[in-house]
Amino acid sequence: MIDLAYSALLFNNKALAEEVMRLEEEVDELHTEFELEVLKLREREGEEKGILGLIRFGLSAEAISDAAASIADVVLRGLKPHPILQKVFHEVEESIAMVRVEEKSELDGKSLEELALDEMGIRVLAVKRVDGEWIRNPPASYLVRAGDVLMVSGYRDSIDELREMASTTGEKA
Amino acid sequence: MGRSSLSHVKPMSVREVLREMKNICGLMIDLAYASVLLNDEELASEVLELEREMDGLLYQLWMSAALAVRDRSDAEAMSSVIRVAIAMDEISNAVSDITQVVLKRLGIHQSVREVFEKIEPRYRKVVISNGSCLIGKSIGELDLDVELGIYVIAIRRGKELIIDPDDFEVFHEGDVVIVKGPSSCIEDFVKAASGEIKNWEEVIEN
Repeated sequence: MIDLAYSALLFNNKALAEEVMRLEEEVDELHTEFELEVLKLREREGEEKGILGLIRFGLSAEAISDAAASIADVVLRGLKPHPILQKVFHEVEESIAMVRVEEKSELDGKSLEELALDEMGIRVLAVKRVDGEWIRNPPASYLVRAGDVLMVSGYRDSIDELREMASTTGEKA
Repeated sequence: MGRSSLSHVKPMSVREVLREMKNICGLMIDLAYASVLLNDEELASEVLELEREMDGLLYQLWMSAALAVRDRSDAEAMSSVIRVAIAMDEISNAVSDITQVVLKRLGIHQSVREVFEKIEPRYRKVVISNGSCLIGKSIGELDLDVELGIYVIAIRRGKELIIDPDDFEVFHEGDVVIVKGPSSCIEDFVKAASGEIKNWEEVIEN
């Protein structure tokens, strides 16, 4: 969620920012459910410490999601983010990039599971389809198609490699 | 990294402070989860140290930002920076609260471990054994992040704890390496560290 919020900021993208806000609402609901479930655990004696640990964990997760939402909120306010933000979030070792998949490239027609991008140090945060639809956290079964734009995070070199794999004339990695 | 007090404000630009905050925020998240999942008090203490540092950086940012604003349009733009910095400070506070679970010896309920065993990425403590092909090689040389998708969060060498080691850090026999990465990659790293696979080329072949 934090990465998604950073990318919303980096690309000044309202759709991504709205997705973060939606996630925040989801986390709120889940957190309430979680707390209720934890309270049900109280029936077991001697587990108080572990249960308190659980409660604290849940609270932290909620606080993190709220913070991520406030980062995304900057984009939704309509204020153009300060150029410093884009520079800072761009220049860190792990960067975020948009990679367009070209026809007949190495990525075209393969599932994420098949591509095993995480073994390259790449994480696919979201995919924008040709019809404009955003899919965040695509499942392993997701089939990559030409025209898809992959929003990825990873180390610079890994992303360069990915770009090659995404191009029609790319050499096999 | 020194702690900044209000009377010794280093002349850091807003950009430098923000970059530092982002780096520390990211590091804290990894350290915190690793400390809880691996039940490591020393890592948890590091998180608290970093939280104090974040607090100091936030003050630094307020001051640098105030000095950088010249007019209304600057002020409007800078407000987005401040909002993000505050959010990163909030994340760091939340993350530091998680480590209290370790420091107060609350322990982690079985259900949390079960969940974390199902999701990626994973955190693991890996010992570099005698005869491992990793000994004498640096993180940068091995290109761990690109070749294996592994990030080294910390290395415990005897009594010393090296947090967020740089590319020049060399692996020694006996090092306890705390890593983060996809489970399949961690398994490969474990095999290289134990000496089960003697050849680095073989490890990265998969």
